Parts: sequence; C-alpha cells; structure tokens
Amino acid sequence: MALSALEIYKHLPQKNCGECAVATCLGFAMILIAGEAELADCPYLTKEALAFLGASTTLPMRKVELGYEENPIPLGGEEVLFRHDKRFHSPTAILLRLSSSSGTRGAKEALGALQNAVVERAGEVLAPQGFLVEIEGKQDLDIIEFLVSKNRPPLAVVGGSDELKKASEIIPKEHRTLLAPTNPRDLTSVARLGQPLLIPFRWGQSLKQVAQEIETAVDAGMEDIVLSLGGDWQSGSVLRMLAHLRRLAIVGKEQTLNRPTLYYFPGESPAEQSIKNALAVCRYANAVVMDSLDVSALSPLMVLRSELYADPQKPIQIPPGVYPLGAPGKDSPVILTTNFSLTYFLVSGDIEASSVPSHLLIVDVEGQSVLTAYASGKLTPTRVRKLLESCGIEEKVNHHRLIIPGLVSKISGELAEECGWEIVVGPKDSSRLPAFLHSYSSPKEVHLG
Amino acid sequence: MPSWEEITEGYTLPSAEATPTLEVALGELRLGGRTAMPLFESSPLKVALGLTVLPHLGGLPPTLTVELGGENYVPLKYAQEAVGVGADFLFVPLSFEIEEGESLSSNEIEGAVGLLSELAQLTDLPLIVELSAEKRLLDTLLNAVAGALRGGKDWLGRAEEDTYRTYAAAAQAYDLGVLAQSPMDINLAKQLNILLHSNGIHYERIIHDPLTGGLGYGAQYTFSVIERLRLGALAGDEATSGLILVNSGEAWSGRECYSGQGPLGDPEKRAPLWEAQTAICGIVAGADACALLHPQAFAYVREAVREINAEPEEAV
Repeated sequence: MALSALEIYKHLPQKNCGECAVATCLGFAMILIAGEAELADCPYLTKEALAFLGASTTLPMRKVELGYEENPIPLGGEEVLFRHDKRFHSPTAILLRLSSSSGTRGAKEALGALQNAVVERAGEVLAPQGFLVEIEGKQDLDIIEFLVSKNRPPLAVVGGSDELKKASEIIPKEHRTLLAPTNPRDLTSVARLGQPLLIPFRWGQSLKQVAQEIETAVDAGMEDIVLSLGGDWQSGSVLRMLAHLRRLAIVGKEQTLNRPTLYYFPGESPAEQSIKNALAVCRYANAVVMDSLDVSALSPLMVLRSELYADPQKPIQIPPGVYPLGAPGKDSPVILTTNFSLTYFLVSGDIEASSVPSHLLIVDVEGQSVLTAYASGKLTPTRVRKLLESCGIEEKVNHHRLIIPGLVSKISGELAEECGWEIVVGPKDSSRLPAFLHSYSSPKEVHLG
Repeated sequence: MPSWEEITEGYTLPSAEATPTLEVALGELRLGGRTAMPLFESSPLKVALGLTVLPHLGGLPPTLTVELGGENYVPLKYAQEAVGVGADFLFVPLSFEIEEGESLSSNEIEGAVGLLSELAQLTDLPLIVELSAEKRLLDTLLNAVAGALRGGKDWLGRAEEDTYRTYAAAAQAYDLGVLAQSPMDINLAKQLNILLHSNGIHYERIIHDPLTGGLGYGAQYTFSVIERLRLGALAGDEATSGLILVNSGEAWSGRECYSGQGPLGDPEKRAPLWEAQTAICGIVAGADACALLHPQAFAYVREAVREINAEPEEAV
C-alpha cells in the first residue's frame, strides 16, 4: 500500500466513534496499513472514500483461497519481495499428486500417508495441505468421490472439461477446488463452473498469451486464478519466471498477471523433487506438488517453508514450561533458559548431545535470548519463581537445584532468595553444556578420576 | 523456442540501477559481480560449492560418521575424493579447545600444520580454513597455521569482533584472504568488514560468513541477513559488496536433521536433504560460496545448480 496513515486518515469520517474496534480514526488508519483491519470495518465511509481507498489499499498480488471457508488455505496475496520488508503471508501450499489411475485403493493409502505426514515442532503443526488429482483420459471419478466421502476433497483437479464438470458436481460447492483444464480451449467453459481456475503457463508461451487467457477466464466470470508452471520448463527459466511474475505484481503493479503460482516438476525422485520445490519455495511459488508422500523428503521442505513464512518482526517463541529431555528422573538436573526458539533449540540440542537426561525449564521472556532478556529486565527472579511454582517441576524432582545460564550469573543471589532454590551457575556458552553436565551429574567420578 | 525477451515482451520491469558486487577470484572461479538478486535476471546462478574436510570425525552424529568413512576416515584421502567429485574449494575447520590455565601442545599445532601442508600439496583448490580458538591462543597458532597456507590463494579465519586485528595482521603478512564471521546481524557484519578494511584488508579479500542457521534453527535469519547484505551492496554499499559464505554443515547442529525415525522420516534420506535445503536457502538469498559437509548434500546442490544454469535443450 502506497498511502501513509495520515493520507488515509484524511478520507476517514474522523468521528472517532470506535465502532471499528479502534478508539480513533487515525488508529484505524494505522492498522489498515498493517493489514490488520479491512475498510469494511468502518461503517461510515463515504462511497467516494471507499472507492479511493479501496483502489489504493488492494493487495498488489491477488489472493486465492482454497478449501472450506472456515479453514481456508490462502495462496498469494503477498505485499513484499523480501520478507524483512514486512513478512510473507500465505505459506506455500504443499500438494500431493494423485492420479486417477491409482484408484480408490491408491487414494486410501495416500490419505493415510497424508494424515501421518504431520510434524509438530516449536508449538507449530506442519502438514501438507491436500491433494492435486490428475484425471488421465476418460476415467470415472471414484477417487474424487472417495476423497469427498472422507471429507478431504481435492484442492486441485487436472483433467478434460467433461471430467472437470463431473468433478465440480461431486465436490461440495462450499469447498474451493482449483480446476485445471488440460486443453486451453476449455478455459471458458471450465471458468463457468464456479470454482477457481488453474491455468497452465507452458514453456514457450508468452506473457501476452497468458494474460489473454486470464482475461478470457475473467470475462467468463472467474476472478480466482492460479498459474501453474513446471515440468516442460528448464529449471532455471521457471524459477526466473516465478521471480519475474512476483516482481511484475509487487514492483510493476501489474494487474492481470499478479496471480498466485503453482510449481510442479513431475517425474523426479522424492529427493530431487524436494530440492526443486525448496528452490521454488525460496523463489516465491505459492503452491508446490510432491508425487509421493515420502516424509523424509517432505519434512525438510515443510520446515523450510515455515521458516521463510515466519513473521520476521516477531521472535518465534516456545511455550513456557518443563521440557523433559532423554527421560529424566527425580534426581536429574534442572536447567533454565529463555523461550526464544533459537535459544531453546541450541540449549536442548546441547543437552541431548550430552546424553545426560535433564529437565529443561523454559521461562517466558517474550521470546528474547538470555542476554537480551537480562538486559531488558525481562529475565527477573519473580518470573523464574512464578515458573517454578506453576510448571509442576516440584513434583518431578527430589531436589531444589537450578542450573542457570552463565551469562546471568549476576542474578544468582537474588534468584536463590526469591525462589528458595539452590542456584548453580552453568556455562556461558551452551556448547559447553555437555562437559558441564558430565562433571555436574557424576561429581564422584570426577573426584576419583 | 522463443527467447526470454520474446516471452516477456510487453511485461518487462524497468531495469533498476545497481552497483555490481565485487568480482573476486576463488581458485578457478570468478565469483560476485552480481547486478541483481539471484534468479532476478537471466545471468547464471554463480556460486562456489565446497566440501568440508574435517581433521577427524569426533563428536559427529553416527549417520554422518558412517557416511564419511567411519573408522577408516583419513582426511587426506577424503580431500582427494572431494577434489574428484568437483568441489570448488575445501573448507577446513580446525578446533583448538583447552582448559583454562593450560597451553596448546606443540603436537596439536604440528598436526594441524601438517594437515594443511599436505592439503596444499594435494590440490590446487583454494583452502578456506576456519580456526576455532580462544583469542589468547591465536598468538601461538596463527603464524604456524598461516605459514602452512599459500599466499594469494588460501583464506584464513574466523575473524570476529574481538580477533579481527590479529587475523588482519596474519593475512597481510602471508597474503591470505580473511574469513570473517558475525553473529547473524547485518550491522555487525558490515561493521566487521569495515574494521578489517581499516586494518588493511581490501573488501575483495574478505569472505563473510554471517553465521548459518540450519533448517529449523534459524535458517530464516540467515536468509534475511544475506538478502539485506546483498541489497545493500547492490544499492552501492561497498562494505557489504564482498563475498558471502554459508556453511550448511551447521544444519547438523539441529537434531531434527539426523535423529530417529518417526514423523520426520528416514534419517539417512532426510539428513542430506536437510543440509542441502539449508544450503539452497543461503544460495537463493545471495551467498557466493557454500561449504557442505555431507557428500550427498553436495551432490544434490551441485546438480540443482547445474540444472538451473543449463541451456534449455540440455535440461531434459
């Protein structure tokens, strides 16, 4: 959005009624810019103001939502080229390709695999989004009926116009599914089916031709359009085209080609496909396709996607509490660190590397690292005491010894007083934890040795 | 087949004024000289891919230990294989850890120097040597290590905020490039380069590792720091226009890279992909060189870069 909060404010009613849930109109203008409110939230906008602000607050890149409205899977709607400029909004969807020839048995297996391919990490659930079904030739649509009966309608269907018409009758109207006609001549008829359209952008087609196809679909009444690129392209050209399309939308303010993209490179091993898809995720693809649900190829891709789409302005936080590492017992060490995700990962990794079972205590300091939290006054004895009292560690151990990061050795006296625990100052650098824990957990051996 | 110009006709972007990043030789390769972000223009994706040669395999996850040869691991033999599979450079991490109050044994130093001399004799490829040692050890170490390297070709670090002077002096005395490292922060990265520069090291002679976060362990910070360094350089900031290195071996410091079965899948298959995608993340952000640890991760990235740079007719 090009307008400043003040410029927007000039067009608002300026009555500070608070009905938009923000106390003042200037406040409303500011959250509009941040993308946290919509113009429709203001009941008193004049038609002229709505038209003016509407035009200048539209996203430079269109967004297409798939799935059910309650739980939409958004593609696109991005505002920036670089995540540090603001953030990326709609994590690249990962689709699993199913061919109609695999039949309902194949679909059943794939559905099982899809449901198993769920990874929980750092308080986030990572999973593939759903299926892309390819109908080869004139097949019956058992596979789509099966997926609908299991309440996992496909997110995309590729096929001839007759098959797509039948598919659109099987798929519930309120479920948004991309329909992709294999023959470009069927664009108009498929666009009229009322479902979003997946238009293939073939290698060798010019952007002019693609823009014409998009306009044809829009004329037929379908605004929700995604472009698919892949297989027939040279791998460098397709990545460059993904970048070019995104830049046309964001920098060039282009209004026709500013559509989300789906990247599909078929016929590769799961590993090669995972690598290609990783490149596409880094270079702006809004959806990617895997031919097989091999979790070892899928898991790095899901983690990569979650990282690049994380909000760079918010540190990733780990929920506070006790984390058992390596089946700790009553006399295992209790180690404290902060809830910044990187801190947690480093410290937990180093504890695991030590093979000394431990209880890791995570204190909420609003996602800051140890030293930052100390410097900003967030890592306080009170916060640590409250955590000790509320997290249930008292029942898990038979001692009151807390190991704290060496960087905050200064607070050990105050902390001991506040909590009534004995405070042990650990190493300054978590990479020293294994050595520290070995001598800490078996002091006798150290004496003998 | 139509050309890129024909395909994009009518839908081009205004060409932005950009200051090219510094063009620097790393062995046979000429790196840098970028005028746009990676894959934003039709020029090839220029990146040097190196393999890490460890002096020994202590402390590595079992998957990786086995892959690198296990008990039969001999650094020199491994380096030979790395040259054979087409590494563009060799990355040699040397770690010296001693307890407080003790001093380095001459055996340890001789061992490191011996390895470097042998590597220098084995291959013409440039060596990038990363010392991990406390500041107080550098006086003893640096002359010996720098003396074993080849002036005009090899690189030595890691120069950090508190050690850059020592490294700058050694680099000048032995005509070496400097490997600089800053803790995932664009301002500290830039500042360190400026400090090295004011201590007599040209920006062309600095390769900067802005600290690589493995996938799931901060890769997004590395990605954004590198993008910002590159954008700064393209906008004319000389201090950030030198080479950038990512060390994707850092992927292995997160246990999800290699641990157990379960929802993350077969670790033997997953781990090299985990590292390769860590590398890709850095390369797409704009890194000029990438040091890889797992040979299969190296093979994946090498193939991906080859395909990207292939002419359309060779691609299929």
